[in-house]
Order: sequence, then structure tokens, then C-alpha cells
Amino acid sequence: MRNGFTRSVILVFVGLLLCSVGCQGERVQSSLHPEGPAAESVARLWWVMLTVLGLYTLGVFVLATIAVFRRPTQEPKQPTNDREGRRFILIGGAILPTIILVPTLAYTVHTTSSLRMRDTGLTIRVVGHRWWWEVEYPDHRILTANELVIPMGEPVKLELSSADVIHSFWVPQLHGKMDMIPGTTTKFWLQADREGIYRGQCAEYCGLQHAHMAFVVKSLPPDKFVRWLENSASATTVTEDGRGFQLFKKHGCSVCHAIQGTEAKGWSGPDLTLIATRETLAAGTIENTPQNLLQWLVTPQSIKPGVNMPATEASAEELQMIVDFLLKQNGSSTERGDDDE
Amino acid sequence: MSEPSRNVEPSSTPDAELQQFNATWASPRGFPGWLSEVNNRPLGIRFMLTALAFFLIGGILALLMRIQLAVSENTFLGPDLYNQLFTMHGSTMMYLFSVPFLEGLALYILPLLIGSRDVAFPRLTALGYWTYLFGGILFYISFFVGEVPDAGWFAYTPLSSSKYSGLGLDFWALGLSLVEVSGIVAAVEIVVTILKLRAPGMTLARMPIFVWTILAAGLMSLFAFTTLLVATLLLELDRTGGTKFFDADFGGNNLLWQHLFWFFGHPEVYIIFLPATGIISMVVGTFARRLLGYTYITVAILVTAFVSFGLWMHHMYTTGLPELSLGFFAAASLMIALASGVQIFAWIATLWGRRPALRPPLMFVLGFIFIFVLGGMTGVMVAVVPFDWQVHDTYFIVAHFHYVLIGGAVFPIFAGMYYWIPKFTGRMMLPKLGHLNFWLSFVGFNMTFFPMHIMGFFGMPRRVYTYLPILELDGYNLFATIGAFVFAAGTLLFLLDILLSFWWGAPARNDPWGGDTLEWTTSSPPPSYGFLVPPVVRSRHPRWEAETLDCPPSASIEAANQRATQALDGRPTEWRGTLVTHAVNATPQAIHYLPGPSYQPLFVAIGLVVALVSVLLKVHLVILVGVAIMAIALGRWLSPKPDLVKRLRESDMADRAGLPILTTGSRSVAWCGMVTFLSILAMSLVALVYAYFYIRLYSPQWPPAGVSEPSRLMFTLSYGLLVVSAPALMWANRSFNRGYENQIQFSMTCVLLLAAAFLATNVYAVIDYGVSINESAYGSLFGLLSVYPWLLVVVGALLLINAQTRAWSEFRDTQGHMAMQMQVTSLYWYATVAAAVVIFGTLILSP
Amino acid sequence: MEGTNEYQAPLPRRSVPTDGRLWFGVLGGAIAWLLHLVLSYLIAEFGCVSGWGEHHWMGLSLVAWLGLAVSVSMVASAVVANGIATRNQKGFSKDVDSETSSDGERFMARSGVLANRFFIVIIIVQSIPFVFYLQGC
Repeated sequence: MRNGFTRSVILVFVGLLLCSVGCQGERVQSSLHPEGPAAESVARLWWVMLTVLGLYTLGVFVLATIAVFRRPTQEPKQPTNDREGRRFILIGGAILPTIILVPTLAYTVHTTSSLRMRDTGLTIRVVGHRWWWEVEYPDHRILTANELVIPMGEPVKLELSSADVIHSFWVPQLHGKMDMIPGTTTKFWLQADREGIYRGQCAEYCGLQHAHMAFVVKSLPPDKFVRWLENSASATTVTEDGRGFQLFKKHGCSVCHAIQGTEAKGWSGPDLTLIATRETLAAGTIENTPQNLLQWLVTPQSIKPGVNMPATEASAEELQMIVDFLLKQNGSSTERGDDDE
Repeated sequence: MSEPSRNVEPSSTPDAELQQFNATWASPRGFPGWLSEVNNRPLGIRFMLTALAFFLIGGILALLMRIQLAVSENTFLGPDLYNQLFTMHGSTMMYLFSVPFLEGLALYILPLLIGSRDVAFPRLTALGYWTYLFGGILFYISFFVGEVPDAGWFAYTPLSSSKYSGLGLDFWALGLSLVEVSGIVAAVEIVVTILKLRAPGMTLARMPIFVWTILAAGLMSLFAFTTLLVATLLLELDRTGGTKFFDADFGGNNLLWQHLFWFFGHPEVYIIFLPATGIISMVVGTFARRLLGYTYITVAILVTAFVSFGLWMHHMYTTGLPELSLGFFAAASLMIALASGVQIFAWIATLWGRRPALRPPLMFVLGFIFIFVLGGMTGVMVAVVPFDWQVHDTYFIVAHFHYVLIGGAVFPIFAGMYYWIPKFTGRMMLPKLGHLNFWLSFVGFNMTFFPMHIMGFFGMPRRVYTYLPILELDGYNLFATIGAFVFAAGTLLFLLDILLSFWWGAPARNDPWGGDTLEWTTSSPPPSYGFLVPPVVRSRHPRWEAETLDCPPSASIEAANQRATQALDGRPTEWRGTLVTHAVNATPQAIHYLPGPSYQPLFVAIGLVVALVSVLLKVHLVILVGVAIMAIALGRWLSPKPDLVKRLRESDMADRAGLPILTTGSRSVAWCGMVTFLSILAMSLVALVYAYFYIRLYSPQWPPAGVSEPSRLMFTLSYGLLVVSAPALMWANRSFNRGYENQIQFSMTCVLLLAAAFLATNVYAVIDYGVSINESAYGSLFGLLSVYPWLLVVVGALLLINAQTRAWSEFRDTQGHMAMQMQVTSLYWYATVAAAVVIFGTLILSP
Repeated sequence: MEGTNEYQAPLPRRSVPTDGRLWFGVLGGAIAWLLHLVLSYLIAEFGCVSGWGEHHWMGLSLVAWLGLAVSVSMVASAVVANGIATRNQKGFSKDVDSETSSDGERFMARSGVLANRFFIVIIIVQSIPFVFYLQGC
């Protein structure tokens, strides 16, 4: 009974382990499903370490089991002076690990230095806020939030900082983490080898809604990326006297949010100029659909309790107009269609 | 509790004297008596029970969190409550359970293992307990106030600053300060006890492994907890005093907190883990009836203790520090695995072919080996810098450190409890329940934490109150939650087992396991003095071998040991006494007077709490009340009672044993305590000076714009006055040693005048300099580092005045208690002067 | 302080090895390692931040030179400590009169040898990162 139970538990563990290699479909935030050179070399490092250290661990388990269940051969005459035992301890506990660990260290330092900052053309500034990401393309005067669009196949330089507490920038499929620390700017880089959308998330506890501080990185082929840059940088086409914008202002949205080219210049919330093109709302919490945006405007506190966004007190009709305004402004609502989601 | 002990060597003391001996050692009666208890055994039990209560609370918090995480986007707990729970879970398990529990175990079992009658400073034991209890209560009062700490057990700034966190963090910081005091106090206690109170003949080569691990953990605590104390002081000053140590807008540095915290935090793991391995060695040794590789194990322990201070940066791989510096810490983090490897292989070699009986203590040892090796392997992996960039702050780390801390500490604690509880309670535990507990704990633990490795890989960060369904982690999380309840069921069985053993457990013999160490020679439970006749140790395994074969005791040592222990057979009867022996060779050196029941520790703790709570409530005048209570209680604690000194001088014990009672230098326990205390002061100074230079390193301009340089001349003069006091005190010591009555008074007066002149000029110079502590990190550092020597000097002056007044009448006592007081006071004063010189160099001279 | 008020011990004091040598034999390697770590850390963090990585001399950066110098001298110190510990161990060996040698001191000498060997290895391993960063930080 007990053995049967133990065996089935062991089977479950083995199953879990195998599953981790990829028995399930899509893993949007997995460091074992790398899509960029940095994440790839780290994943390789992991599989190598797992093999070597796993074999050593297995050896220890086998020895421990034999030690306990083995029949006694003979009583050693002087139990505390067992020369053989000492050699066993030294080889198994010190020499063998040294033989394993010294190459591991060399591999570590080598990988670390090979992953250092790459020379790149494009720089993106990311500022962590509680609980969203401000994204700026300083050379192209583009300001957006919770979404990085990068050209595929080339490294992109990131300058990370924070507006309040420490956050950590992490896109597991592309690279490891880099902390965003108030008072300093940390340098980092990303590269995606394929076109696609990769999810990232804040990895340093930053308070109430740390769990819902995510973002996406969208990698585009070079031609599409250039088109994206041009579209995004071009001045907004929104007409300020449109009904949608008036409602946007009337209900106080512009106190916290900015739309480039308009008088909405709030800065404590995400910039909404490019909101129509984004994949997600509320920093990766929900998918960006008109329905979800409406929900978000009405009940932000139940979607992301504690978020700084207050509920918008407006009639259903007015809300719908704000949603339509936000998702159609900038004339770029077609942008998302381009990416073949 | 106080049945007469059945020692190996029967007492030959007359019954009347034995009765008086028993009365001297009896615990005080009634509730007031309970408050004045200082004996290590009842206090050790109290420590362990309190820690166990916190363990249960922390476990319940964990179960609530697991319910919340069982499915994605669960709304069982809100984000606020979840964040409070994980903060309290981590803080409780790290600060309020593991360290205090092991301290309690050490306090209880240590004197029994080394053959002394109590620990070196019984009243410190009580102080440690009260500060721990009050600190724990302060932590949990936050729930009733509704302001629960929610910045994590690591409280990274600026999240933990007053800007982003409420009153809860004050509860956290102040409760933690009390627990730190408790940890430091226990460390002093443990270190001095092990080095000075071992049974005659228990040389360093014959100390049980558990004693080695406790010694290592004690030494580490001195440095680690002191650093944390400094860090929490800086944090609390920032929060309530408006200083800017961690405020980046004013030149402060947030990484400084992480450096200081992890300089504590990493050794902390080993402070917990090392004693746990000590338990493993004890159980393995007993069950295998031998212990192979004793020297290897002790060296591994000491190496671990040392190297653990060189790993702190591996918690900071992702903070953007220079790559090169990460390399050294990766190297040290990898190489420390060797020390653990040696221990693991020593246990395997020991068990090899010995067919040990698979009883509950050993089952938990085997479970420990399995789990800890896995945790060690993931530990090696996270030392690898690029790999850590991926798994840092994910559930992989959660899995890793639970494998290390539950596998490496909770399982050994279970093993140790099944092993030693018969000694504590006099009842055997019920073996069937023990086995069931093991299987539930082992299977439940692995079910809970093994899937977390995979969750980490698949992108689940730590400290999230929920996760999105698109991560497809529901299955793993549900599995882990079920496992957590299985594990919890095992722990409940353990508690049930303790309770039931009182009714159904067989009475425990003195030595139910056939163990080799001295505690098994006492009755179960042991009397409050442990040993009626202090044992003489002649081998590493006193219960197995009469004497070691390779180093037979010499006749003269044996004679001295015999004389000392025979003299202490059932004596001294009027006061509590135990033997002091040489730190290395354990040859008898002196008889140590142990104080009896006292209320002063409780009052000191209450004074401390009053002071801290009034900081919390921002009623600053009441702080003075707290300090006053503390000062009065400390004064009464430290001042020697005149009749006592007289009684000790006239005691016949010295002649019987051929050993002094009131003595000086390294054979005086008080002197050893002062040396230990000074190492704490040194560490706090190192931490502060490091903070100064670290903030300076990352500042573009120093002093910051708009702040002038301090006046070199004025400060040089002022610190110079203090430096001159050192030779004056040397002169005083010389006069004392030669018995020059008037010269003593004159020179001591000089020292005091110089101290007063230093204080006056230094305070004036700082005020004249006029840098504000609230406007820049530089100002905050300058202020704090200036105040530091002031406090030392004020305390030192009080000690000097005390010594000087006493020297008036007792200047002839050049070998006894007065001499010891002179030594201790001088030692403190020289350290003060040295600290002031370091601070002078830092603030004024450094380029 | 130890010597000032010498209580008449029942056993004669040993002449060799002295306490200082005994303790150096035990702790020498550990202290060398500690110094190596602290200095390497200071060189790497304080040096790199202060720009010493950019100064070059004979093809290597100032940081690398300092790091290598620290590494070599600390390995040397640990080797010296190990030599002393080995001699201590001989000084306390079994055939020496047991009146004057206790197994406490013999044990310290022996653990010194083991600990020093370990620390020599760890200092060498810890120097590996410098080799990868000869040109700068």
C-alpha cells in the first residue's frame, strides 16, 4: 500500500518533469521556450547543468540507499579511524564536486560575458511605475506603455529606470531579468529571432498589484517595424473637438493620461496615444478588446484591485463613445490587423 | 522536574548539603517566580514552545496562500491580504520560528552536551526570551491594529519607506529589532558557554558535532544579526527620523539596503542550516553507532560559517552591478557546495553497512538527505549568474529555498525532536504516529514544492497574489495546494504525538537510543542543574569509549580534572556554580558563579519595548521613560552585590577545587563576554563605515552641492582629546596593578575629564558644522556616525565612574573581582577610542 | 590579557608551537580567503565604478592587474598558513610526550591543514573571473 502510493507519487513527478519539456501547447512566458539568443544560451546552460548535476544527485541517492539497506559486512575494528571512509568522503564530497564545479564556473563566467551589452541601433527607455510600464523611443519621439515593439533579428538596447519603487524587467523567452531601481539607470538588451509576441512581467515585488504588472514585446520583421515606427511617430489625427475627446476630457481621463498632439497631458497614467494598437489593457491584465476596455473603464477596481485608475462615472452611451474614440483615434486601428493575430 | 539525577558517578555529598544544593537550583515558585526564571532548561522549553506556536501560525498563513493560488485569478484573498500574509509568513518562519527554535534547543541541550550546569549568562537567557517574545507579539499586534507589514520579509527600500508603506512596516522593523537583540544575546551566550564551560577533558577534538554547529551559528549570528540591526536602524531612522539613507532623491542608495540585508540574509540561512546538520550528525552517529569523518565534518562546518559571509551578492545578480564582481560571488557560492558535500558523504559513509534501525528520527534524516541534496543542486544552479537572471524571483527560487529550509532545517528539527523529546518529557513518542508523520510530510512536501520548479520556468514570479490563465499553471498550482495540506496533516500528527505521549508513551530511560553524548547520562527529564557531579570527559564518545585510544590523558591533567569535579560534587550549595575550563584543552581554570532568578531581564526587555513602541506611536518623550527603565534595570543587573563578592571571596570552594572563583582575563567568563560584545560593536561600525563609503561611491559629488567640508582642525582637536584618554587609562591600569591608590584616582579622573572634553567639543563641532540630517544622505551619515562615539563614550564614562568609585576602597584587589572590572572597563574604553579613530578617519580624513 | 594574571596551571606550558602559530595555522587560509573576497569585491565594484577598468598597462586593465596581484598574494598567504599548520600537526603528533600536547591542539592543527587546503582551492577558483575580464570590467 505504502509502496504503491510512493510509486504513483514518483510517477507523477517524473510526468511533471517530462511535461516541463513541452507536452503542453503554447508557453507565453517560459524561459525553457526561448525565442532569442540570450534566452537560448541560458536554456542551454540549464540543460547542461541539469544533466551533470542530475547524474551526481542520482549517484548520491543511490549511495544513500545502499548505505542504509546494505547488509553489514564486518564490524570495523576501529570505527573512528576508517581510512577508507575518509577517502570516500573526500572523493565524493569534495574532489568530484570540484571537478564538476570548476568547469561550471568557467562556463558561467563565459556565458555572462558573452551576454554583455550588444551594440545596437535602437534604444528604448522603459520606466517602471506602480503598476505599469512607460515605454519611450527617444530617437523617434514615440511614447507608449506596457508594450515594446522591436525589430526581429537584431539586438535592442534598453535603458531601465523606475519612477517609484524597484521593479524588474523580465521577458523570459528573450532574456533574463534586469532590475529597475529608482535613482539609477540600468542597461539591458533584448533580441527576438522570430516574429511574435512575448509576454513579460515585473519580477521584483513592488506592492499591491505586483501580480498584474505585465507587458508584451512584439517583434516585427524589419519592413513592418519601419512602418510601425513611421505610423506611430506621425502626429495624431484626432480632432480635439470630436465628441469622444470632449467626453474623455469631461470625465477626467486627461488628468492622468496623455494623448500626443492634444491638450490631454496627464502623466501619472499610461500614455494613450497608441492604445488602439496595443495587445493588452491594464498592463497585460486583459486583452485589448472594445468590450474589455468598456469593462475596464467601468470597474477597474474589480479587474485590478487597488490600481490608481478610478471608475469612470458616465452613462453607457458616453462610455461607448469614449471607447470608440480611444480605439479609433490616431487612424491606426488597422495596425493590429497587420500583425495577423 | 527536580528529581535527583542518576549520574554515572554517584554523589558523595552529605544529604543535608544536597538538599540545600537542590533548593539553590530550584525554580522560583508561582507566577512571579515564572517571570524571574533564568535557568536554561525551562527557558529553552519556553523558547521552543513559543517558536512552535509561531511555526503553526506561519503554516496557517502558508495554507491560506496556497488556497488563494490553487486556481488562476482566484478571489479568496485580495492582493492586500495576500501581500500581508506572505510578508508575515516569511518573517515568521525566518525570524520567529527557525532561529529562535534552534536557539531554544541549543539553550536546553547545550549544557547537557558539554557537561555544564547552565549557560554562561543565565540572565541573558531570560533577556533573550523576553525580547523574542515581545518582538513576536509586536509583529502580530499589527493584525489587530489593521496595519500589517506588507513589504516582504526582505523589506526592500524604497517599497518599505514611509512613502510607500504604512505603520505596518514600523511594527515589522521594531519587532524585528527586538528579535535581533534576542538573537545577538543568545549568540553571546552560546559562544561563551561553549568556549568556557565545557566539562574537564572535553577538548575541542571531543566536542559533539551539534556543539560545533551551534558554536559556528553563534559566531555567525554575532556578525549577521548585528548587520541586520544596523540596517533596520537605518530604515527606521529613514521612516521616523526623516534621514535619507535610502532616498535616491537625496543621494541615498537603495542597493545599500540590499547589500546590508543580504550580508545578514545569506549567513542567516546557514545559521539555521548548520545547527540542523548538527542534529543530523547526532542522530546519524547514534543510529550508526559511530561517526566517520569527525574532523572533516567540523572543518566543513567552520568553512561553511566563514564562506557564507562571502555569498551575499548572489541575491543581487539582477541589480546591474559590475559583471566582474558577480564572478567572485558565483565562485564562492559554487564552492561552498563542497562543504555540504563533505557532510553528506560523511553521513553516507557513517551509515554504510550499519543496518540502522529505521525509527522516526532516522526516517527524517533520510528524508532530509533526499530533499536537501535536491535543494543543494538547485542552489548550485542559482549561483550560476545567467541562469539566475532567468529564475531569480520566480517560483523556481521559492522551490529552491523551501527545499533548503524545510529539507535542511524543518526535517532535521523533526528528527531532533523525535530524538530528544524523550529527554525533555521523560516519555517516548509513539512510533506509528512518527512514521505516519514522516510519510505525510515527505510526500506532502515534495508534492507542494517540486512542481514549483517548473512553475518558475513557465514564468510564475514570486510574491504574486494571482496569475493569469494564459500561463497554464493551474494544474501545477492545484497539485501544490493539495500537497501543502498533506504536509500540514503531518505536522498536526507531530503535535498530537507529543500530547499523546504524555498518556500513552512509555517512560523514557536515561538513554533510549544508546547515544554517545553526555545528555544521555542524566535522568529524563534532567534536573535543573543537569549534573550533580560534573562529568570528566576522556573521549569523543563518552558513553561508548571510556577513553580515547590515541590520546590517553596525562596523569597530572587527570588529577586536576578529578579534583575540580569532586569539589563540585553537589556543591557549591549556597549559590549556583559551574566549572570554567580552557577554551582549547578544557583543563579546569576557575569556578563560575551563576546568578539565580532575577526580574531585571524582564525589566530591561520592558524598557526596550516601551522605548520602541513610543517610537512607533511617535510619542518621543516616552522614549526617555523606556530608556530610564532600561538603564535602571541594567544598572541593578550589572552592579555586583557587595555581600555576594564577599561571600564568593570567603567561599571554601576555591580551596577544595584548587581553582579561583573571582578571576581575570580569559579565565573570567565576564571578560570573555566583553570580548564577544566588542566584536558586535566592531561589526556595527564596519557596517556603518561601509554604508558611508558605498553611498559616497555612487554620489556624483561629496559632500553634496551646497554643503561645506567639515572643519578639520576642530574635529582633529576633539577626537585628539579622546585619543589621549587611552594612555591615561593605561597609566591608571599600571597604577592599579601596583596598588598606587592616589595615582589611580588621579589618572581615572584625567580619563573622565578628557572624555567630557571630547563630548563637549565634538557636540559643539557638529552643531557648528550644521549639516542637516534631513537634507542629504551625506548629512544623515555624518550625523549618525558622529552620534555613535557619543553613545559609546557616555556608556564608557558610566563604567569608568563605577570602576573609579569602587577602586576607592578596593584598590588592593589586584587579582580578583575589582581587577576583572578594571580589565573589562579598560577593554571597553580602548575599543571606544579605536571606534572613534575609525570614525574620525572616515568622516574627516578620507580623501 | 592572558598572561598578566597567570594562574598556576597544573601542567607545564608548552614551548612550541606557540598559540599565535597555532591560530594562524587554523585561521590563516580563511583570513586569506576573506581578504581575497573583500579586496576583489572592492576592486570590482569600487574600481569598476570609479573607471579603473579603462586604464591599461601592458595590455591589461588596472582592475585586472590589481585582481591578479591580490589573487597571487592571497594564494601565497594561504600556502604559508598551510605550511605552518602542517608543521604544527607534526609538532603535536602522537609520539610527542602526551604531558605537553593535548588532543585539542592536535585537532586544531589537523583541521587547520584541511581548512587551508580548501581555502587555497577556493581562492584559486575565485580568481578565475579575473581571467575573463583582463581588458576591463
